[in-house]
Amino acid sequence: MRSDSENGFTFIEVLVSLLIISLVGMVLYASFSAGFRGIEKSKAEMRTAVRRLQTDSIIRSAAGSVRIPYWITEYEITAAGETLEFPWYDGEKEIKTVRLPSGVVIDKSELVRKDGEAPFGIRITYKIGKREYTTSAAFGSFPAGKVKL
Amino acid sequence: MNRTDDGFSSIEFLIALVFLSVLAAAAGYTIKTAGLAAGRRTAAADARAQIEKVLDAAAEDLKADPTPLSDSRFDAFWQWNGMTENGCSVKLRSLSSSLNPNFLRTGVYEKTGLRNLFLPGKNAQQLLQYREDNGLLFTFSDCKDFFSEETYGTYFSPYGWANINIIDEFAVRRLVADLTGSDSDGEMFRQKMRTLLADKQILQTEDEFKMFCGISYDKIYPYINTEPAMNVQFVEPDVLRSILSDADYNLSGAVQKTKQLLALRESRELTEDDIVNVLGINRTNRLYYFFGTITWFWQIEVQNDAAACTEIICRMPPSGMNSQAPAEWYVVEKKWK
Repeated sequence: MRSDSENGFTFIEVLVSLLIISLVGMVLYASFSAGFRGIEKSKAEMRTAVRRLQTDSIIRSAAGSVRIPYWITEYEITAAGETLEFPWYDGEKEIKTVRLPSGVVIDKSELVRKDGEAPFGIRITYKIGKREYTTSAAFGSFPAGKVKL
Repeated sequence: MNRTDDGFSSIEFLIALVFLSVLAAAAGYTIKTAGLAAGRRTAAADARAQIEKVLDAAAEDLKADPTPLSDSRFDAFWQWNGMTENGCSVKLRSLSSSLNPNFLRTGVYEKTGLRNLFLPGKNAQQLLQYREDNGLLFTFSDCKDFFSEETYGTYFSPYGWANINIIDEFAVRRLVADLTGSDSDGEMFRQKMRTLLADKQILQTEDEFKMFCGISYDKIYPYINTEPAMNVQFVEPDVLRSILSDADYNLSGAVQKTKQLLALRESRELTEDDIVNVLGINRTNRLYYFFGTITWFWQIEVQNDAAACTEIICRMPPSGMNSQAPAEWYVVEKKWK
């Protein structure tokens, strides 16, 4: 006598199998899709983080190279788009242009000073994508009488 | 029996071996590179920390100087010069004992051997004109048309407080304009100074200077004051001889007195009285305001294998009623390499 299985699958069995396979397929697709979206998002986050670190490093390095003569009390930096312009970069009067990584847009720049005295640093607010960041950095020089030994 | 049943052939085995070797080498290289980068970062941080320690220790010696009214080669602070501590080498320079390319009057160059410091074809009038056109000078590149790099490095520094009795009138105009942010304030100050010069009047004390400045005093002091500008104990011998020989100051036996001061400073720390005694002048002579015994600006260079830092510190001049107060030092610049 031949068993049932040797007679092949019933229609219902085939339908149930198809359903199960479809469900498993859908779950797998959703998982992969979510996984890929996550990877893309992580990559974007990583790119932003790298850009943020680069920007922070560039601003700090540039500010640290600013040496304003100790008798100069007036100082101005120009910030527009992706560029910052520093006078007295490394003690030279000529303006030095510093370019931030692409995709970084400067929102606001201000000098850090106390009680209207000569500035000793800068505070730059910039956007990467929709997020806003701020970097504060000290100059390589300080107004006489400010930083006690 | 087919071939696969016999196991890997030599070629397949070798390919697998090469592939695994490449993987292992790549992994090893990555780990080594990451390790080296981390090591470099740690080494750089350690190197900077060592330099900071040396700077702090040197600063402590400067602050603890038992003779704060005289800075000399006999001070504990100066012993740091040329010293190597924890792998860091230290170099000191008394900046304000150098000629200030901004403040020195053209006449001093023209009437003394200091005119020989200029490059051929250049002179003090041209330097003055350049300063008028471009502002006060701050780096060697500002001065490269006038002095060789070696001359500039040996004899000049833009760091120093200006003395009202000896500063150039055009330099004072620019300096006051920079300090107050007003060109007219600069010009007014210059006019007042011209009156002083015409009357042959000398401002001897900080209180007299305060009255002279009026409401601008807070912005102008300490950049301009009445303290002797250069420290006789570190000034270059040629500069000392040249300025003492300036005919405008009527100092007899200038060459002999220069030798006397140079010999004295080799034997012990000088006091203000020593200068007065040797030169035979007092506060009523303009020459008095060139040479004192205090260094107002120091440069401290500390270097090790991985980093270098140049720090410039200034000392505040004693002010009026606070002339007996302890000396105070401030950091003006800190540059890392």
